[in-house]
Amino acid sequence: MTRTTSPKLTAYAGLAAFGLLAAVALGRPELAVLAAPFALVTALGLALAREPSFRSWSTFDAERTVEGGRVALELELRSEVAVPHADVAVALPEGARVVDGPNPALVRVGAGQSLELAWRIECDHWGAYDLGEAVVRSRDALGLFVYEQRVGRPQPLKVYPSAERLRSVLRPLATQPSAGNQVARNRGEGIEFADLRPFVHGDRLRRVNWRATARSGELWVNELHPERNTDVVLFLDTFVEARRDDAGTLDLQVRAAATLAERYLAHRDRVGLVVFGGILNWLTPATGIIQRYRIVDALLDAEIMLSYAWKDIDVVPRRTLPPQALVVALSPLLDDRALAALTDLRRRGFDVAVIEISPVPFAPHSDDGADPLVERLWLLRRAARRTAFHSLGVPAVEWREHEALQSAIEEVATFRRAAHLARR
Amino acid sequence: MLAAAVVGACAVAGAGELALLATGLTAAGTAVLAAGLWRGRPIVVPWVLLALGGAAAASFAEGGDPARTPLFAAGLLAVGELSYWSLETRLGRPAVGGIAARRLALLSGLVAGSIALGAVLVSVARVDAGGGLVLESAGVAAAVALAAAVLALSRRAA
Repeated sequence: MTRTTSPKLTAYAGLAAFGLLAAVALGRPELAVLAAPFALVTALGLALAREPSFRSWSTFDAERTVEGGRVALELELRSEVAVPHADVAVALPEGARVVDGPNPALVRVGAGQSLELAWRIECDHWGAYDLGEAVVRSRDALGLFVYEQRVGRPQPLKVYPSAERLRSVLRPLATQPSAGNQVARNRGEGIEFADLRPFVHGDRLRRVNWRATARSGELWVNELHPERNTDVVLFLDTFVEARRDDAGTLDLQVRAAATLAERYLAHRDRVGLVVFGGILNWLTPATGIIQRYRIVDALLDAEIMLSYAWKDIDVVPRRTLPPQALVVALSPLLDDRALAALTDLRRRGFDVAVIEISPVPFAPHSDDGADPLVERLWLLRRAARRTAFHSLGVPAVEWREHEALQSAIEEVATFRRAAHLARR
Repeated sequence: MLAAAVVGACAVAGAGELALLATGLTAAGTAVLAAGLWRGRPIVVPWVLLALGGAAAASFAEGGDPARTPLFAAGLLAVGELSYWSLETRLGRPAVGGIAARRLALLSGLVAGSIALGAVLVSVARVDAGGGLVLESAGVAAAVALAAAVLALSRRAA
């Protein structure tokens, strides 16, 4: 707790002293009478001042929420000394704001009494917040001293990035042996019809196609595509980002990754994560709701950490990148180390798709005073980087702020279909 | 603001030949108070009280009724308290009821107490206790000691 004198104390003490001395100097008792109330208030205030001691408990109604979600914060204050006047302000980190409830709240607390305050807090940006602390600025009865104390206990609140609605996601070229929702390219037990073939010993009777059998006069059976799951690795390039005020490419990367992870996990696919940047972070592919929380928690820790050390894909543990996994890279394509790693992955036979989180909206434009020639050269260089991926058979599509992620995914799917046709 | 204007107007009314000086001090004090409250600057309050006190002193210089002095003193205290109240509560919104009522009651008590104290002081000043160097020295010593005690207490408390 800190205690400071209020301007009132200095002013009243000064006025009292000045009035009394002036009364003596000028021989005018009226001046002493004028100064007397200020001396009286000062003396009373000094005699009656008691330092308040607050005990507090703060609680949240949720440990996690999504961007734009609201959580209720309740604070209980108890004071053994009467506090006639106090301002209670919730300590808010950047990105959080009070949407309901007075902040600061003007309260009084009786001696030995408790007071409950409640606020609703909205977090505009994903991340991990420490909330629950408040600052109490109280005054004594006559307002001569100001006491400031932090109350409450900061508690972590995780704000998850809001996920976009996706109609479809990228289908990997290969599936895994476990059951899932993706129709495999190979044939086996499943639902989707694949082809007809003559009956062989051991085929089940239920697989006989009776129409084809009746037409040909010999037994034909249906071949089916099995439903399998896939392995998807979300690859976040966090070497550098382009940022403008409160938005940047990292925000878009995290939102896209959260959206894709949620969608793939809903389809019973195994999803892994590689955060490739100044700090390397990874999650081996797994499925289920727990993996979803793991991924989102890992995404909350994603940050741009400046590093000049060269890193290639060998630093990523082998089990993080299972064979035949689809690697969806979310990158602003600004750092050569990430580009080299993605190229390396492709050359190792991984199914790679690059969604370029465009840094162009966050960069200065020629309208803002940037050299138009420099801007043009930069854009050409970015186009060349995408073309280099295309030449490797890797779809690289640009996704910009305020565009639907679905459009980028459809563009990647279109590229993959076109590449598939070209191979034929 | 209103309290300051009332105190100033009373001072001007009793200032006689010094009415111009009292008017100037009142106008300046009220204007500075308005600006200070508008900008949220508590530093202006003592200067405003000094100006209004000067206006009140001008009315006594012309041989005004000493019985009015406690009323002026209480008025000045009310101006100071209301000004600081206005400056302290401009950010917070009340979360519980009764804060304003309690503070108003406290302010009324202070004003009443200062009137009573002033009345006692005025009646003491009317008593002719004679004069002389010894009494004058005792008065100076008492005033200095009181001022020093208040300042020392406030400094120690800070």
